[in-house]
Amino acid sequence: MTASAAVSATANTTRAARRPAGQRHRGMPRWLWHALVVIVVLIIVYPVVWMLGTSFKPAAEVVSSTRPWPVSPTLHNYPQGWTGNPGVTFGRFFLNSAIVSIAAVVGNLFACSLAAFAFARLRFRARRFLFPIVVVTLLLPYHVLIVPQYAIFKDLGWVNTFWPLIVPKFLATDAFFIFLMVQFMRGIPHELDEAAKLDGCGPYRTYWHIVLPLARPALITSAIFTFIWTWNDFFSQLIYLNDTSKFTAPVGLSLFVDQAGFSSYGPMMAMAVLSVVPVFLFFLAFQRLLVEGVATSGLKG
Amino acid sequence: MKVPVAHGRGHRRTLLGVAAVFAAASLVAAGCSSGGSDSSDGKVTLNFSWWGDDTRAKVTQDAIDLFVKQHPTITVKTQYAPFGPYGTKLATQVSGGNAPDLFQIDRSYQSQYAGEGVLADLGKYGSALKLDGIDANFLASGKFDNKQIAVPFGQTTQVIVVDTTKLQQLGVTAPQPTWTWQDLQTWGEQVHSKSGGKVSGMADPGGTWGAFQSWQYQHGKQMYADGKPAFTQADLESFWNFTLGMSKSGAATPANVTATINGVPADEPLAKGLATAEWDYDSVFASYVGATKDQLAILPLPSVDGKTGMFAAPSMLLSVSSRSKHPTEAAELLNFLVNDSAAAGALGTGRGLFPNTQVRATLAGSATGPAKQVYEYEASVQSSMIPSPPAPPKGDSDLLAAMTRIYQGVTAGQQSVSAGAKAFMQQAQSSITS
Repeated sequence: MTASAAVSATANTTRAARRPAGQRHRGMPRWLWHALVVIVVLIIVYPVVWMLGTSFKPAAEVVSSTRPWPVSPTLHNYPQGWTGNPGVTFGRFFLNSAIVSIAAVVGNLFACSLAAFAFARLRFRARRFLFPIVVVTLLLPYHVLIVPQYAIFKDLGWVNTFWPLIVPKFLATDAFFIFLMVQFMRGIPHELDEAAKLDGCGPYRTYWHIVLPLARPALITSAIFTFIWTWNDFFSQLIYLNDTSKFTAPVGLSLFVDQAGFSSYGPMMAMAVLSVVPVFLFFLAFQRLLVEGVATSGLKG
Repeated sequence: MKVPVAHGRGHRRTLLGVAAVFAAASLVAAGCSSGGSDSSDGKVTLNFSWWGDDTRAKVTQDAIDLFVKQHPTITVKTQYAPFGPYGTKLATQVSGGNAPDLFQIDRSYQSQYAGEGVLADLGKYGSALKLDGIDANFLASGKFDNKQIAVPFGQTTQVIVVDTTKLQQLGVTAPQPTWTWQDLQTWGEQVHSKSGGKVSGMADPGGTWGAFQSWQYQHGKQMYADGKPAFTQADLESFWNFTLGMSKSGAATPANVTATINGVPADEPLAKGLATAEWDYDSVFASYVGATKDQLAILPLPSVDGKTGMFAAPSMLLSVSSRSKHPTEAAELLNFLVNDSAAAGALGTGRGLFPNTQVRATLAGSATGPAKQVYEYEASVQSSMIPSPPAPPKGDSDLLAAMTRIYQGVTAGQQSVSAGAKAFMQQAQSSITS
């Protein structure tokens, strides 16, 4: 999956950095390599450039011109998008998204790491049986889960609050991250636990003082992906939030799509640009930690 | 007046989400009570849910404010989402036992909901909900098993939009409102030859499900009977043979232009100047006007033996949940939204023409611009319209896209008309299951 790809990609960069420069791509001329990379980057970046360009285009230009950059740029889309919905600004949507996403990150880091620690380090009855069950929940499509979940949260009176979006994260329901952390924790030498045990640490202190610090790369990966996925999650936020004042950024963005398939593309793209910024910053800030984590983890010497 | 209609062209609405959620619902034990809070002082809170954008949000809220002023004991909480997500959310809420008291419903899933028994019978509210102000032919669109389970919340009708400016430039006279398909063919060829082959008479309607629907009614046939397709391969072949003939002679657009028809007026051949006429619903007429500088006129569909096969189509309908705790109050709100002149003033024409006939006539007098054209058009064709057919069976919405896709193959010469019609019938048999 994407998360593990990111981990291995970082590992590759670290490894590559140790290699002498110039030997990276034997047998392929450097310019060819660069040309290929540039082409691929252009293809990948094109939608982002289009989004950015469209956010500065006046309404008439959005549909009529195919070029990604605006001919007569305007800043008008930004204030228009910000105040586009009656009675609530886009700032409110961002705030709501931030609350939900940050709470989800905290919840996932806490609950998934605790669950993963149990599966990776503790011996308890039915462990071999329970872990596969956790992993199998990954195979359940969201559409199957949503109605029973909705019924439960409705009975709890939590519909139209943030709780259905946050509380499950504190109950270790994201099996993917549990799996990721279990795999990572299995790689941490058992001798460390044993040494801690000899020094009088119980399971909680071993978790907190030994395993958790060493599992930092896995934690950071989980944090990044939880944040991005929650920030971009549309479906569950749409289902559980009813009041416009409780809407998050993705649900708010969808309001720009009007009923005939005609959309206020300019303001929508302007707000889309703004909603990409936090994800970008979050990734930028944590990516550094991710590299550091890989570089410093494990036993030295 | 931009309102999509389920039977319009190319509104690519995936109902997969809705279907998936309903399937999932069967996993949950039914019998959850409906939401809605009730306080001891006799105050009632209604949940009203609808799809639309922020413009519609403003006018809807205005109308609700007026209602609440008249009914101080009722509070109305609204929720809205764009069309696609709305369908998914509504399905989840209904399955999860938390259906809104009053909600907008689309023709494409109306039968499915009615079949599940989640829509209240609206015929039994007496004076709380008066339905006699709405034309009976039009009201029929909200019936299921002879019960009124929905009330249309806006009217729209089939139309041919014509670019009169372009016709003047080409020196071709505009067609008469009483035209036949044969007239259309001759007229289209004239446009084609006068423009030196650059402009076609009409955007090819062969891939448009709604156009075929009208064709059937013009020939005195039905689309569905007992929840099964009543159209045959031969019906489809006769329609396609005609449209393909038009396309080949230049009366209708060639295959490569027809392939670009997608239901968004601004992208259509008419707006691009590639055709002088276009099949659509009058609710999107204003969008066509906004998409071109040319003068546009509206004409009835070409007829067969004097029959146009046109009917008043609901752009959307309103239903009350059968599990609502306050069905009478919900019915009162519904009554206000479809009958009250104050509501009509607040709502405008964004959902199509107002359901109540009398109120509509008053509004027509003060309308201007494209809205005036639509009011005049609707008044002129009112007497020739057939009763609105009942909501199509589940799966009908799949055929919309299938029609476009298969006809594209036919116009491109990949498939013969009969092979295409056969493939379509197979699709229809598997989509329409109930």
